[in-house]
Amino acid sequence: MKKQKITQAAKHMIFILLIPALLIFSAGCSRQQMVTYEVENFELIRTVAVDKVDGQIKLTASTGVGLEDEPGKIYYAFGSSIAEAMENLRRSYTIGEAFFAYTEHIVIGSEAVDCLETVLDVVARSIDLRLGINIYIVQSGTAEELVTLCQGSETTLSDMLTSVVREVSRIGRGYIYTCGDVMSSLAKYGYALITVIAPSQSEEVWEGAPEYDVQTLGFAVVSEGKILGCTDEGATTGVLILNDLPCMQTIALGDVTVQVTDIDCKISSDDFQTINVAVTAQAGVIEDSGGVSLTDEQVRSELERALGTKLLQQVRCSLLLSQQYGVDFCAIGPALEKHSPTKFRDIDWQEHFENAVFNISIRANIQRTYDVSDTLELKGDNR
Amino acid sequence: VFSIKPQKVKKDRVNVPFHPPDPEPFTAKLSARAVEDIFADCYDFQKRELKLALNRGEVTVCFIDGLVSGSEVAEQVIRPITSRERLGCAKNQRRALELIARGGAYGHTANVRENINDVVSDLIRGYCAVIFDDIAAAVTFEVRTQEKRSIDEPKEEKSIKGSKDVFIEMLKTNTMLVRRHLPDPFLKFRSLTIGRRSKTTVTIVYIANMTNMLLVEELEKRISSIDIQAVTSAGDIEQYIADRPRCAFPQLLRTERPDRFCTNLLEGRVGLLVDGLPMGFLAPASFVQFMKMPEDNAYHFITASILTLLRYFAITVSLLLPAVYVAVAMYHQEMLPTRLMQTIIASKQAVPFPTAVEILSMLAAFELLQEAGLRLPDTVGKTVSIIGALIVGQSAVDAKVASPVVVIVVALAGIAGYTIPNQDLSAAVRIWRFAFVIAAVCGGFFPVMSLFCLLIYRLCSLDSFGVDYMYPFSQGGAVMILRALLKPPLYSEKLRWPDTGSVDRRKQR
Repeated sequence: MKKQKITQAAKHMIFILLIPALLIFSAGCSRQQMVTYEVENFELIRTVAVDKVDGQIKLTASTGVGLEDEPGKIYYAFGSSIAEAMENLRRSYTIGEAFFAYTEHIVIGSEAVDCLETVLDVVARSIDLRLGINIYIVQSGTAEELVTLCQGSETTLSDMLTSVVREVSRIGRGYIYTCGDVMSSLAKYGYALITVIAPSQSEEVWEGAPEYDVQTLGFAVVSEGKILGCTDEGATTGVLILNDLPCMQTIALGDVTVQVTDIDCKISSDDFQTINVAVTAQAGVIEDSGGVSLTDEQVRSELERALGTKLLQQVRCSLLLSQQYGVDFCAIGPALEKHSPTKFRDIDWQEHFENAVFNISIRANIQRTYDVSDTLELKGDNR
Repeated sequence: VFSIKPQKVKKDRVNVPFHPPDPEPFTAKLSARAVEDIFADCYDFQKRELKLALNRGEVTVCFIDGLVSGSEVAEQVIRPITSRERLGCAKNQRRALELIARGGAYGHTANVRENINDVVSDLIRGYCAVIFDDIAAAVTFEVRTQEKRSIDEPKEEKSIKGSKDVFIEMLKTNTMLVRRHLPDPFLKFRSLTIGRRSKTTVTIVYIANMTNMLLVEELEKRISSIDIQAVTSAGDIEQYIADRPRCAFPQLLRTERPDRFCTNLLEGRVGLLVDGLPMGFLAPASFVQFMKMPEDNAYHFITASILTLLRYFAITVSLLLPAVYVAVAMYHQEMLPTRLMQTIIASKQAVPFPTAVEILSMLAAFELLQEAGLRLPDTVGKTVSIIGALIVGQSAVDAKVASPVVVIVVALAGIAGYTIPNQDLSAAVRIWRFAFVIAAVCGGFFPVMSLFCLLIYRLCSLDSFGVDYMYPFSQGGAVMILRALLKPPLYSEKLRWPDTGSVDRRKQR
């Protein structure tokens, strides 16, 4: 009986000791993770800008505006690698601990595009940085310049870029690529699209507003550490349509302005020589300054034709650009692979893509929504 | 030379001999003189020598003043035994004793005693003894004083839609309350006596054709094995009959409400009432029972279900929130949203203490306030709580001794703890809350989760009278778990919970 009790107690003890041991080892605990910090010493870095100066990496870290409208801070550090520059940044400033876990945006200067893969490698390995961080390329100029230009007493580049992300999600048009997206695209297809940004003269007039604002300018096509080119406005929309990304655009068609509410793209091909791209768009009238009646079928079909022509231009523009660069950034290949995977495996897609003929068909449907003229007449009668 | 200084003895427990309790400590022949000797130095002991009618000899009436009602002794005992009409026909003392025992006196109970130990035992229970010295016998009458606390409203388990009565210190009143709530002829009260000196009466309460008799036997066995001086508090029972008395979590359900006591009896549990304690105990008890409110049945089942879920959420918050805050603030800062992190940084800027010291001291201050509020009289207690909250909360923040976030975290954990229906469980959670904070200080979430696993393991290894403490979470199945977390409508609860092993599981058609 006593022996049994001892055995049972021993089993309990082993179990009790095993739990913490298992948790610690299976959770990948390391010494680095077990270091404690006091939060009051932190400087939350929200934007990291990477540039190349004389063969060295220059890191510019920007904090956002503080809770009580404390002005944001900018820190600089140099290093032979990004990790070294980050370490130097941490060491240089003894007042606060530079804390990178809250980094939301990484901006790469146009001259430092060849560092892209290194940046992504650092993001993937770091315990602080996450793959969900948004990544941008500055159109022409250094990232540091952009950070400095956008620094105001009550706003910073971090806040502006956060607004850009929020706006893209709110209006349902455009896409901000993250480090994870770029990394997976480079690994899978050898190219990636990255949002291009540039400073623009600010129109804000309130006190403390910065002189410059930030604007997005389409996507940069990056392959093998080089920027092959950038998409213009039309091609950018085409890329969004073909990649099945949010694309709620407003298009003016004479007296009527319509908003595309839903867009669907189907890509198919039997011989991979002629590729059929079928786009179906749903739109609604949001402004009518000419008293156009959508009940008139002829007027409606004319509007639909005009909308289709606009969309056709956008799609064609992006397809031509992608053929010009020799990079399938419109994701035609992956769509065809999904459609007929066995056939797709047997062909040299790159060769087919460069010589492919695109048969684009657009079907636009403008829904009859609120007929303002009728309502006005009704109101007149009542009076 | 007499010295009150205790001797320093090594291995004290070994050197002090063990004497088993003596059921008959007095050996003298039963007589008024012998009883008087036993109660020497007792100012409340009273005796009165009386002559029986027609000069049939002398008897002595003894009682403890205060325990018995003087007027009842005079009216129901002294007057009849001195009356010629009632005892005139008694030829000798033996015959007189028989007449008294068989209705010559008016007491509603009359016991003939020939052993001095029985007489002494009766006297200290509020009986009056009529001792016949010549024949060494006595008749004892129950003439207990009716002075007792009134049946008040429950203070610990507030009732809104339920009955408002509450157990008091008198066992008989408590059994009466149970009988009134549950007038079932199969309701049984099995009586036992414990306490070497107090000789406290405890009553095991069960429903004969429903309760698992093994439970009753087990409870009786455990109570019989209790060897203590006196039963003066609930701990004197709980700590002796609990399966794991070293565990801080309560293992006996304690209630001051007769309606809750009866509801649990109807679930197949065994009850325990103790003379002198204004509460009833119920066994077996599982964690789920401690999370239930007596009011749950009174509410609509949707309301009751949401409140039950809220309680489970509250116990988690109360147990883990300070530890999670410490872990996040010290080790896993990347987990918080940016704005919240900025708020925490801003609030901690001027505080000179590290997070660990800050939160441990605030928790300690909170406990001090709670203790002070509990120990002081109601009016003063409330004032202390308000002033304490102001001082410890607002002033500490103003003086930059503590950050507002820490005050909020500690206050939230404390308030969440108040929603736990059982005070014993709440106390256990308070202890473990400190343990979790210390674990978080040591290494963030990993020690916290390790400790949490250990706690779950510990709770799952507990049992109460053979029933899993964590039933149905440990082995009950999905349906039973849902029944524990949510309150099904009363009309759909056809069967009793299986954990009590009730012999009659069906509750309704």
